[in-house]
Amino acid sequence: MQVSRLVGLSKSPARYTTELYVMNKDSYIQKLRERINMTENEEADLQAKDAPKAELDRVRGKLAMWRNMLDSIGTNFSFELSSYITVSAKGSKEYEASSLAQQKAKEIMSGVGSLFGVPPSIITGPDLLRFVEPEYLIPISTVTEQISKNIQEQVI
Amino acid sequence: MDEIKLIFLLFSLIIILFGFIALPALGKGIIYYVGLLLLILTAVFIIAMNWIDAKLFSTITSLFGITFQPAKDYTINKQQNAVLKEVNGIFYATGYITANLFAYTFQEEAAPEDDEDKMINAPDTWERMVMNLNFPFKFHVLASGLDVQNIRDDLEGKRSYQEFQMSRALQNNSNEVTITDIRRKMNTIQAKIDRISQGEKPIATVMYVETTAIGVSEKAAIDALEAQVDQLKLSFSSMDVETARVIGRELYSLFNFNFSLPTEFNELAVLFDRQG
Repeated sequence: MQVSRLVGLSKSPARYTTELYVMNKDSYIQKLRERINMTENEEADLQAKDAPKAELDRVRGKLAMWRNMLDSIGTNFSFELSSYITVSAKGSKEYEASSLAQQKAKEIMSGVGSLFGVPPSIITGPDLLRFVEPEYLIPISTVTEQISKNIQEQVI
Repeated sequence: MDEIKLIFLLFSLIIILFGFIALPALGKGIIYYVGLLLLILTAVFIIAMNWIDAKLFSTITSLFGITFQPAKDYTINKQQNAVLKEVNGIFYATGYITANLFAYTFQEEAAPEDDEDKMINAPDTWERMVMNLNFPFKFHVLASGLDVQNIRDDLEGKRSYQEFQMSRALQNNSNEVTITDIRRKMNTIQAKIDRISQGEKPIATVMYVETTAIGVSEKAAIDALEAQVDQLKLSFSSMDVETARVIGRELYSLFNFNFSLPTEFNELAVLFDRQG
């Protein structure tokens, strides 16, 4: 019933979408790679300095931990589910069209807020791309990690 | 077929008519028969285009390997069933399937009573479906409000027609099946009128599912997309939804909706009236 009311909120065409997309782990994967590089350097330094075996084992253990973490992160996709509403408006100038679209969005937002008791917000900036471009739907570094894993598995 | 399409069709066929009128001027030789054959083929082609244009165009583009560029960096493949994009050597293929959950949204309109159970179980089915899918997809409901007065007048007209049918059936002593069928239709129409009277707004909807697959080559991405589409069709079958792959012009329209939507119902109706 609530859904029926939701889709009847706007007289002009509006699109109600539920999107299941791959979580963007790009920055996390990048951080893990940096951490692995740092630990590898640390290990090389210790080997060059003829450091005690216990110290070397500790660094190698740390390296194995970070590598395992990268492996487990890259093996499977993690998913997020978002719901959003799209509206469009026409105008003779850019600002006119965008302000009319904002107005429509605010009307729908007030309806959604009262129907479902959730505080909706207008998506701005680069976040908009997540709902438009496919590479934001499946983030690039997460994908390459997955593809390289698949290739490695096939080779083995 | 609406009036505008009918007018377009008639005007297209008038050109053929001129051809037939001019045909006797060619005499009765081989040229006459070639001309006649060409005119008949053209007429068949024009008429066929109004019903099977999507299949016809996709066959032509497949045969000649024609691709389209709907936007910068995007390509519609020659089978016209996927939109492709290449980013840093990775190919993204996006496809669309129809998924009209009409019976769920307007449960009162559906005649069978077991639909109520489906309606109650729908959230659980949906959740189970989403949990089992391990690829990204979007479920879109494009809705537009309709003019309340027009819809009400239309429904009242339909109800009057059914009342007339009912009185005729009763006068002619028709069988029970016919009377029950008319009564069911009348109840459905009355339910719609009642809902409008209670303040519900009539809406038109287009529901579809969009999914994106990746691959290291164009073929790999399209193959992955096919697998995802098949899995989606299987998953949506648990919700009793008819799923059909969107191809051709409708694919282009749905792709454009990611960037801008029609702003009025008439613009939307023109795009999807052709769905047949």
